[in-house]
Amino acid sequence: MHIPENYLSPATCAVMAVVAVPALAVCAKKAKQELSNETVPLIGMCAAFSFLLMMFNLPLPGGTTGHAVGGALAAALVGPWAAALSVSAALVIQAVLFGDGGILPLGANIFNMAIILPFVSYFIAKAVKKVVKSQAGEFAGIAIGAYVGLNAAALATAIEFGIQPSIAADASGLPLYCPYPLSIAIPAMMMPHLLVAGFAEAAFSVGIYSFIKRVSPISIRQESKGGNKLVYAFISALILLVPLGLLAQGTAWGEWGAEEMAELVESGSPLGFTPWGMENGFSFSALLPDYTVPGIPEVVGYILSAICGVALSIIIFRLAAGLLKKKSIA
Amino acid sequence: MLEMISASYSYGGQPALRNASLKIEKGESVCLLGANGSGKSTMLKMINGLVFPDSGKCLFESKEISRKSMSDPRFAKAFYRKMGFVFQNVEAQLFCADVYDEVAFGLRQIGFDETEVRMKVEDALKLTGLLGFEKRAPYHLSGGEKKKVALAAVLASDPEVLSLDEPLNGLDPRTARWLCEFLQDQNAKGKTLIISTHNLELVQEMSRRAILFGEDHTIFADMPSMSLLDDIDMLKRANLVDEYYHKHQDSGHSHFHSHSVSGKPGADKG
Amino acid sequence: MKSSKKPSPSRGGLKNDAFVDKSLITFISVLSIIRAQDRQDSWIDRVNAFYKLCCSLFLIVLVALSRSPYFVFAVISVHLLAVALLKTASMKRVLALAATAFGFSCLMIAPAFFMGKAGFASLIPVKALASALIAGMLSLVKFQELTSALKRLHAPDFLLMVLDLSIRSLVMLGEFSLETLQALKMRRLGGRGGGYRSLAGVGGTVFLKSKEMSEEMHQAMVCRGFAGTYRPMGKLGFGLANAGWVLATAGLAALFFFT
Repeated sequence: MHIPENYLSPATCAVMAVVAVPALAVCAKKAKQELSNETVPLIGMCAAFSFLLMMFNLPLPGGTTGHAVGGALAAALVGPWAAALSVSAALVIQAVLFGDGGILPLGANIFNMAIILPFVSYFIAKAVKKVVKSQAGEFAGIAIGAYVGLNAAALATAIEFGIQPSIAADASGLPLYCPYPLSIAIPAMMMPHLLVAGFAEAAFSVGIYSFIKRVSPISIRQESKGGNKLVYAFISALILLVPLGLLAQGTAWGEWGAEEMAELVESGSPLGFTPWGMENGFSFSALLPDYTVPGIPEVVGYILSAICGVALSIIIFRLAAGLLKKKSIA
Repeated sequence: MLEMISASYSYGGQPALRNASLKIEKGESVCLLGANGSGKSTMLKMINGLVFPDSGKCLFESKEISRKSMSDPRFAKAFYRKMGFVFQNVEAQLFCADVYDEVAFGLRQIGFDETEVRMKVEDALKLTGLLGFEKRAPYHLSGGEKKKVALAAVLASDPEVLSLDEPLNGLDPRTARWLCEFLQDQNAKGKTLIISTHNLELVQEMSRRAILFGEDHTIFADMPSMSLLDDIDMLKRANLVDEYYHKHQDSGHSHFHSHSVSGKPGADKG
Repeated sequence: MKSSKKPSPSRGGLKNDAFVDKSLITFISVLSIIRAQDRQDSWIDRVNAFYKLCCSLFLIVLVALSRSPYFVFAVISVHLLAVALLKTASMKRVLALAATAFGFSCLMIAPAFFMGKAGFASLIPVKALASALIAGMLSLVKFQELTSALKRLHAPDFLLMVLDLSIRSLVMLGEFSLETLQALKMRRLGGRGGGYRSLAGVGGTVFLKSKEMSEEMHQAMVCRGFAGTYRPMGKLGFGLANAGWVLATAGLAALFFFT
């Protein structure tokens, strides 16, 4: 569910970051209040925990494996505030240190997996627990919460992908980023999550939660008494308002491409920008005929090809040398 | 300087320390002995103002250490400056990005400026033989090195009381020996030492006074370490050693260990 | 969630252990990437994390905005050149990252290509390659330097501390989970079923361990008088390596604006 670079328009990324940052600030404030000064180590540890949760390969039907996200479980164990912060920290580390998920879409990834997932699952678990007061009710709440929460997060991801063709297209209406409209993005994203991943997430969450409940119930966060309504309302409003914000920026920012960027930077003196048509775009993938890149002034193309060629030959040479060395040792 | 008056503490309904009374004077060196889970760690945490007695009192320089007195930041700051605590699990104690920051952490909290911090950090690193490790990340170090970093981090701010929870656990014999000598040296320089251990071999070397905890979480005995170690019956009653335990007194030196008989594990693993 | 479609090894009884093996491999690779942080590397470490972070972010934005294949191509060539000068281990990592990003991207865009609706999106795999190379170079930054760079960008102490602590905890808990998983593997002996239950046990134990360690860490911080301030900014030099890095970025940016 990690959105990689270049699938969302920078405008979408900006909107999502603008949403995610204040939401996390609120979470930090609430977590500090709730956990007093123990917050920092707990969130750091829990970030590592949620990172590790994403590394457990779960057996799925058909002999494949997949991994859980763990946001629902974290919310049940340490509360939604600390969970949101922890999962965010894990996502930042994954993006920066492991190249898992893009850096620009980090805001979107945080919104989907670190805000929607923990909060949706937390509230569902809480509601179910209120209706069915037994331990079975508690576990069922966590299972349903994890299932719905994961699918809500997947839906948010699908929507972010799906609106790209309509908000970020060039003059001829061709998409600049993710080319799939909502009608494709939503089913493609939702089918595996509704049918498989949601259940795996639910099973894994309940499994760990019940294990901890059995072994060391005092380690699980105790529900604090009320007084949170306003903040909950803020978070829910955020979740509801984001789609509107995304669509609203569509018309205004959709065309905010390189050209406008150039104008902005050069303070109103537009430079000769040749927008690239589809034909030119495709010919790029051809194998650099005559050591020149089509469409580039020949000298520049030649230099670029040379740099690329030199770099590639160094890499190939060094990798080959490494292989040979290994063989001669063995 | 340190006093406990029938202090008790329980954790999650389980008693961890019961009715403990003791007095430790400035410059003393004290060993806390006892089987696993007998209350040594709890006592150390109480002395360091991390947990507070449910009943009874804990005094430092005749001022009570309680949740209430520690909620005064000025008092707490002055108190923690005088105390240095090396945790059993050093992993948990090292939380900074590199060794330099780790050792500098306490100094920066006190509010030294960066040149003073640099000087003091270098002193502490020199003292523990860690010069050259400044830029290393603590989690990449070996167990012994981590322990030294934790020690340097605590010593950098020059505390009056140095407490160590099972400092010899997981150290190789050479590092353990080094640590023993290092601690004796610190004690000779006037630091009050409080060390918890179940390594009987090194008790004598580390301190003259030993406090033995029983499995009922009470203080079982408080006596010179020499005579405590001779009282094997007492050690057995505290479940610290088993029936195969004995003391060798040949070839001019004495040491303690238990021979494994028919696959029984050694007592010092205890 | 992403699922890998690799078939599990078909060695009869061991078949059901594939998920344990896979988890083990994932844990080991993550730990080794973090361990590789503590290396004495080449020129790349002389570039200050602050410049590296700013330049990488800037370039990633430009690549995302760009509709010009040759700007993207230029970014790729310059970065390939930088990659070629790295130590072998780092080089392999960056290339593996880039190759994965490119391959995944091709797979994702292929249907649109066949539907003839791709448009500029057909550039996405190439852009993905460029971004992955940029991100790959950035990922070689030492994490502690990265948090200092963030501090320079006025990120709050709270955030820096959480990030630093997360990475440390990741090593401690990662090693712990690795051992627990290995124990699980030895005890399961390729047995059938119970996959979720045993994994839940491992996960639960890891959580309890993390809870215990975070409490201890909190106490250790209290003991050393934690008062909320974290780390001061280091000095920001401007050596040859930094200048080279910034110049290369500026050159690429010029290409973006002037072509």
